[in-house]
Amino acid sequence: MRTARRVEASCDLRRSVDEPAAFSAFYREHATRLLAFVARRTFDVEVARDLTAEAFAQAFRSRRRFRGTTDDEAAAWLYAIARHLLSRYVRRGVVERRAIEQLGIRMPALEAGDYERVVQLAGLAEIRAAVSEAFERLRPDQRDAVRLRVIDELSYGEIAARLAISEPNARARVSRGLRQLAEALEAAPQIPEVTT
Amino acid sequence: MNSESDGPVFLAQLGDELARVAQGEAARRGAAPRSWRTPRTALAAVAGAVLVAGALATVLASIPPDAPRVVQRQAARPLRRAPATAPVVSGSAVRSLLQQSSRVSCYGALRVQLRQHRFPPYLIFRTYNVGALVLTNVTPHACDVAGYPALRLRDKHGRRLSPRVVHDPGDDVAVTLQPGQRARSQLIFTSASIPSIAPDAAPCTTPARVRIRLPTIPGSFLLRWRLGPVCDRGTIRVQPLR
Repeated sequence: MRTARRVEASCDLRRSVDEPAAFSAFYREHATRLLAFVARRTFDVEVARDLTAEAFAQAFRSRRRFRGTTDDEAAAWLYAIARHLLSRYVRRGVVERRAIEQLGIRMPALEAGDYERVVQLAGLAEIRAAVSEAFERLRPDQRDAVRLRVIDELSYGEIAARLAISEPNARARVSRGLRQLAEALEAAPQIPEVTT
Repeated sequence: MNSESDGPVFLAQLGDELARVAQGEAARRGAAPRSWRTPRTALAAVAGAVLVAGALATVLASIPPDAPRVVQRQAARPLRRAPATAPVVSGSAVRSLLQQSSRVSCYGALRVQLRQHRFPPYLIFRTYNVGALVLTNVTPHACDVAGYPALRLRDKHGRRLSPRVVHDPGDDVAVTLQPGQRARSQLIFTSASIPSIAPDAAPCTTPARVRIRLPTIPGSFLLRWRLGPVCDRGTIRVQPLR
């Protein structure tokens, strides 16, 4: 049974359990795409770099726990780690660095052109343009509510007081505005897919 | 994959770092494969193989000769796919996008210092001390900080001091720092235990280091503590950055 699985296990992550050097191939295959993935979700180049590094460091550290055999499964496993780190980052505002520190990885500095390269790689400028365009196209009452809630971070009670509406009404306006932004982003044709 | 030449430079460096770590691990492990390193693992594996063979023989013997042949397969696992990197539409992404159109985090832009408050000499018998955490924007761009800093104090033996942290009420709003501008958070903490006034605050020792985390900034800052003794069971009142 074990030998059968060995033969089947052609993916780099699986191989790296016995030959750690194979992890480099796994990194090369997924690094650019994962960086674009986290950059699109954080819109912050430095945080994206740290999250990418920590995701790979955690993948390396716990690669023996990976139970899949194919490249697709390895990618899914890596993205699950990245998603987990992302959600922790969103909740706590801090990038976890435990695996980076444990493995003694020296974090590379960002070169002058790296900001532009990541912005280009992840298509951040296009997304930014699409969001601000969609934001301008919102109904004025929804736009005000979204601005007070998301940019000024006011509570719904305060928004209601400012706009002289009820609190449930304020919630509804913010929620509808955000949903429309999301729909506009989804429909935006000019945002290219990140190819690998 | 996009060709590496036009990708970010740090990505290649990060790859080199990971390769170095992997090489180090391979060197530590030596030539022997992991599972056969110790005689005990080898023994356990042999014993396991014998047991499995025995069990298999029993099962095979129990199947009648004309029973239909069952192809043994693992239970199908739902195949998880790597997510497409299509445009992001999550609420948090939209939120951070819109916030960033007006705000920039001070990540990597700050010099962090501790300043001691100078008391008039007649207050020499006070049981508290006052200092300030001062953040200076050292980049040529404006950026924002906000919230209450978190402090973790350790004495010279590495023992953690745990005074009660109280957040002073105040406006917890984002402060925009223009280049060269400063934000402060005042710290008021119990620094002496005088039996008749503050008997419960002891023991009071001078911390060696303080680790500071700021709510909107990843990572932490490690500073030498220069504000005198802090009482382990005293309080430390922290004001929001402003």
